[in-house]
Amino acid sequence: MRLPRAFFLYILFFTVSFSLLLTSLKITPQKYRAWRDFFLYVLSPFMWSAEHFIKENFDLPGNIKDVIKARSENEFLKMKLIEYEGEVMQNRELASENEFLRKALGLSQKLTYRYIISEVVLMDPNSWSLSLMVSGGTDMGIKKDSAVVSLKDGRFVLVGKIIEVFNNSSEVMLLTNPMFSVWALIPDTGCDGLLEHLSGNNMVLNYPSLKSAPLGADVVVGPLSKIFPSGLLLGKIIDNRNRIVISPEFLKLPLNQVIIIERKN
Amino acid sequence: MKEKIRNRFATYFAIYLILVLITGIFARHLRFLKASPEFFLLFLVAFSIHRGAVFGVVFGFFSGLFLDFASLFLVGSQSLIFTTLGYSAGLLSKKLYTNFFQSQIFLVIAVSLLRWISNYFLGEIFGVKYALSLSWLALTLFYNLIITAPVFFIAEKIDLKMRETKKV
Repeated sequence: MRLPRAFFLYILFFTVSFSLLLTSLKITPQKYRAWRDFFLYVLSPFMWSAEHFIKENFDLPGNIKDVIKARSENEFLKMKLIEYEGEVMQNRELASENEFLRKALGLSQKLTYRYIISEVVLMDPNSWSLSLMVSGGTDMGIKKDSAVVSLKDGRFVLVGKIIEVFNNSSEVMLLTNPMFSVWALIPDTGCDGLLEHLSGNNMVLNYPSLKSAPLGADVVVGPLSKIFPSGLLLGKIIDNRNRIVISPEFLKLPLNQVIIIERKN
Repeated sequence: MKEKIRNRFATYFAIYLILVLITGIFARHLRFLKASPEFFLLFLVAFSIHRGAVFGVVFGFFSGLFLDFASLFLVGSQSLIFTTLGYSAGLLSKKLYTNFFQSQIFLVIAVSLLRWISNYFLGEIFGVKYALSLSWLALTLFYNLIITAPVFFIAEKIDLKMRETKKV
């Protein structure tokens, strides 16, 4: 009778296992523990990774909660979307009406802008508050006197203006440069004037209109400005005793990236 | 031919590695009332029933070897028991209707009890006490029975897949 291959294999592995079992009579527990610990030490990274993966990806209660929350959130967002669609339609109607009326009154058309994201490539330590260089020049269609802004909570903050355009870089005159001036407005009270450099990093509102300028109020670019879009944030009022002193807002922001606002027509 | 053999061994190795990971995770973190299901044992039986005695012997030996290192019990005891159980389950291949849930339950209860009894006797022979509480045994058996159906189902699916690949 011919015995099956599995039987011989079984005998072989049985013998090996039994030999291993016999060694436990001689091996001291310390040695055995050392081998066991070594084995677990080698294996543990795999186990930790698998554990981590399972914890991260198989969070069933969390996923169920998310799905339930997502459904209600989806309903809410759908409602919001309908609301906004209505508002957009209303705004379109108003815009066309506004355009028609402007034409009827013979007023100039409102300006439109395009936005170019640019990186600050050079800030000279000797003229830190005067100017800086940004990437992009004539190659990107940047023009002189374009506004350079940064973003704070979804709002544009004026950093300066383009004063020199090169092939692939541009020079920006900062708001804190003594040569810089811009027509500014305090939207809360309607007080306006010419914003100019005062000393250090502060600015002053010269020739202010006879309206109040409360401390902490926002100062923005006024509608009379010829080169900047109105409404760009300039800073906040920090002193109003003798003169209206303003602290520029862009100084509180990181200046590694800026946005250049280019006038379209 | 060589490629087929290589693929088959890769599949076996992957199954082994997955089982090592699952067992490790369950042993360390997913213990319910200080007990966890015996994945290696169940997969060993389920696969051996489908793939035969040769597979049962080899897979049983290596899974037992892993458990030997992972536990503080006698070295070689688990490989000895698992080799025997794998071989026995493999011999039952094509002689048992494994699609029936009753057969699966019977097999799992039998191998679980055989494993514990063998452990107890080996412990007695080699002077290491295999002391386990009745509640632990009952819970482990309960967990084993819970995962029996999914384990057999997975094993059957993998076996079918491997057979299809072999035909192609």
